[in-house]
Amino acid sequence: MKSLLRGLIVALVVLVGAGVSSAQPKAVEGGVGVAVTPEVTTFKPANFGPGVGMGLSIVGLGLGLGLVGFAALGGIARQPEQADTIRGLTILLAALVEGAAIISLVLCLVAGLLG
Amino acid sequence: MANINPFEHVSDSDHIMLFETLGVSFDLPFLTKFMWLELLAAGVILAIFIPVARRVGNGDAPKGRFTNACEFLLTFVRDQIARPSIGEHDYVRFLPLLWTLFLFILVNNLLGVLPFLGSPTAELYFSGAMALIAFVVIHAQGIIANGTRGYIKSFIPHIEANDTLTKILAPIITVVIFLIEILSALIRGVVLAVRLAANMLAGHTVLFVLLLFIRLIGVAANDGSDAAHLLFWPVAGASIVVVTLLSVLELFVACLQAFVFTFLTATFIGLAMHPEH
Repeated sequence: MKSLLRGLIVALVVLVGAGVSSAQPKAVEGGVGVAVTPEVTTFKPANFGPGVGMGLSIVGLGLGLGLVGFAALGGIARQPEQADTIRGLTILLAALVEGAAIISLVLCLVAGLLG
Repeated sequence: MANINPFEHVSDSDHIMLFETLGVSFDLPFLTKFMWLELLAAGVILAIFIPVARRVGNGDAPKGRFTNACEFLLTFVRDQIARPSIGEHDYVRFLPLLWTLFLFILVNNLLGVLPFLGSPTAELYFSGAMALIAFVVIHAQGIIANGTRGYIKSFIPHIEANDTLTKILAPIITVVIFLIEILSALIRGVVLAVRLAANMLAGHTVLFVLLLFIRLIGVAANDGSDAAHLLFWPVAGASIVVVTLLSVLELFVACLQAFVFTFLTATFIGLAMHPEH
């Protein structure tokens, strides 16, 4: 419970810090009419939705690949002579799970850039 | 930096950009960059595999490592993908299609690893065209093998209704599952395309963003930030090392995605021809 609270406070501080530091310096009109706009990365703190979406899809991906790996290692440990079959199927299933997660990641990225 | 488009280097354009800040770029006539790259891939495949096929067709054993490697690719698709998924009787008919899909997607993926080129498979429409071909073949084969009536009947689930409650609910469930099966047939085609395109797009975009860090910290160091001065060389070094390692992963993903596309096409053809229900 305590570590959860600590984690929430850290997340809050990071978000507020990102908001504060994304303040862009205004264009300074010099006396000769020279506008100085230093390029500053503008991270909009409102890009919260796509960020959360990306994080969640990575959580799902980690669980999925972990389960596939768990079953594969268990199978190879029990029957080492089937290792080749198991290895082929593991790669295939990992690619399918990862495909779903990458689709979600790319769509979140597009939503973040377009939004 | 807010006006840097991370997809710019991965999408299609009508010039090959060599060095942006020096302004060196080739303008390509007639066709866009990806179209020229696809023609290049087709040319490479024809140039490599027609002599290999001719030699194997003559009955000679393949000599040399290169011919052996090419023949390994072809027999891999035949023995690990086509024969288990489609069955012993019918798999020979589909081998040209599966070989073409596998090799074309593989070479197009691998063109993205070469510098200054790109992988045409990152374009959604290209993967969509491959998936459309696969989709048409899958359902046409299902209709040819089972008849139109029989093929549509294979989408209808069989529910055993033993007690009264199930007897009442069975028609509703049958209709719902029938609609879901039709929807899943369409979704499988779309996901086939998007999986390939998204994998290639995401991989190269991540590489671009990691290299972008070097530029960001360089600009920050130029603007007079002291922390950036200290961090420039570590960040640049780490960025290049990580990008190299990720490029090796990109190679693996390129081959894997070609394999997954072909394997799923073969599996769906097998399922359409011999519905298991």
